[in-house]
Amino acid sequence: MTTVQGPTAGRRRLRTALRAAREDANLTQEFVADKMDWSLSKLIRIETGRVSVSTNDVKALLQLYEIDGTDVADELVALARVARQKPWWQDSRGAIPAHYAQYIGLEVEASAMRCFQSSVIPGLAQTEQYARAVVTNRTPGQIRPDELDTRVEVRMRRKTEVLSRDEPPALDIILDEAVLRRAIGGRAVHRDQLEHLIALAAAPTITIQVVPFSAGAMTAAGSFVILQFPDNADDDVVYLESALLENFIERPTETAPYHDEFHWLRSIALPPAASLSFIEDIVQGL
Amino acid sequence: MGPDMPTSPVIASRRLRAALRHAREVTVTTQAEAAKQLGWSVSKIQRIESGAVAVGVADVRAMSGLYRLGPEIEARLVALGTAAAVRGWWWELRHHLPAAYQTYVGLEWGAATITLFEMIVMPGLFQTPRYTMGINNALATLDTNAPEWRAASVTTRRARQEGVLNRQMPPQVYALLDESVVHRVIGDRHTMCDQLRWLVELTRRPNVEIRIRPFVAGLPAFIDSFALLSFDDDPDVGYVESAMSDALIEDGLYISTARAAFAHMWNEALSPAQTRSLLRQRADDYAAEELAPTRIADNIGHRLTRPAAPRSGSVGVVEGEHPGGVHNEDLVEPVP
Repeated sequence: MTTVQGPTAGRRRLRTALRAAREDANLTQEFVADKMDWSLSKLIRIETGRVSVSTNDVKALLQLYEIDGTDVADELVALARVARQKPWWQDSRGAIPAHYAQYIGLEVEASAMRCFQSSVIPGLAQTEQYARAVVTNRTPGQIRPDELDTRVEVRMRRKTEVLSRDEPPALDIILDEAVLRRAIGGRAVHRDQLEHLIALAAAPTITIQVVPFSAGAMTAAGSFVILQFPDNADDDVVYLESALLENFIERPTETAPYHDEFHWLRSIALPPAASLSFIEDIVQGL
Repeated sequence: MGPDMPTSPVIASRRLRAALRHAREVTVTTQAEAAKQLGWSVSKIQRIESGAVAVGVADVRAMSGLYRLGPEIEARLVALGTAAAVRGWWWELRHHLPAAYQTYVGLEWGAATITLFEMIVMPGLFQTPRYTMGINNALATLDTNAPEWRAASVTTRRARQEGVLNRQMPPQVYALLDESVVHRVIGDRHTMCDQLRWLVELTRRPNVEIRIRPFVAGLPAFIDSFALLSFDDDPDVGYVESAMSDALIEDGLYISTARAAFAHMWNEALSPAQTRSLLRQRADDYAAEELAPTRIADNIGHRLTRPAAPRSGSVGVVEGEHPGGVHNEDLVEPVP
């Protein structure tokens, strides 16, 4: 039986497996919804992972697909159980956008993350003061003080949950020089943040590289994170930081270009040691 | 062409489909009912109203008849249909350009005001051909960049500049550039020097205002580059571009949010005089550095000495003055 670390990956795996099982049984969504006495939209929402599904419903579906009692079926029921666990960020859900909650769910389960940023230091590498400035800046004049506190707390909790766990994920960060130059939160906060970045790079699982302006690079991809998971059955997810475009990309054909882009960025970025010196030089100049 | 008549076929087309949809809704007819009465498929009406297909004169007349618009309005709609059928200069390049971009180009041509925010590179309207080619080379890893596409992108930008900036009654252009845009070396230093000097030239035009938002202003309220187009008689349109995807935006909420963010960021930016001075300074730096060219390869594998380029151009600010105070008038002198 494969292992799943948490509810988000569990739900993803479950929805794919349930869909595949239905298709293997040669049944249409309409037929299944009818047999289960469900609305068609309920089945669609289950198969797209938009709602969680009870273990009883899963068992009934498996019976309908005539695979109950098999190993696969046992695994799916286990997945359904995992998918219904309440995650730590559940209590903050009102204060954070839905796509962000989804991102956190994937992040806690990722085994590797590749991140390119051209506007801010990635959340997992932010100091508390820097995070506070970022959150304030993103939502000028719109955020209540308690919401601000919650968002900053969520960010800090993410760091603990991800970076301090027993087997932390491999974290490859590539930063456009602009990120290092942008004085977010004022000079003191900016300086502390860069020093924190240098300290982070000492961790064996974390690599930080800089693409200097002189490299003549621009990426069309904007800022993005590629999340990879311990089990090969879970496809990579690309998260795009944009107010407008779709936030998550999951189809392998659509995530592949981001891997290419990341490889290319790494090939033109300064090597890790030179990148650290580069950041140190910027700190010296502040 | 009368004062009422839009200059761009794209605008004419948008106006026409808005008018047809409105007329149908006012006469309380569903798309299905209208299709039935006209003897068309529903999808034909849908495609006409969504702008997915051009609408012929006969169809305009048929719909005007059904909606009882009267001869005067019908004549106006037919005129719009004729104007919409005119092929813009981008027609020949249509196979090489994304659909949303083609529409954007058509709209830009007829805009009264163009508002641009750029986080990464120069706006297309301001790019020199060498700069555009530099971008294409930098994007070479993406397979969308077929050779024809690259050629088309250079041709298109030149045509856009000709048609928009050099036309008789040019639109008002407000461009806000993140400071990184003047430091990011696209092409080579020679390219950058020429590009920045061209930008200084552009700032002399009465209808162009360019401002740089400095690093000291912190994180921008918006991190997507965007363009907003305003028209004399038509609703605003937004455009967001990345090479992975681009999109036209007609959602009023997004547009008003982007506009508010722009106003906020515009106030945090350097004044026009400071902007010009930074542009000139960076152009001079590039010219000087060009004598001792640095190639990318030289930067890899050994420790960089002081990253001279950005520091000499970054504009300093006394802590606490930014943002909020927003008065940068005495910050003309770059930090050495």
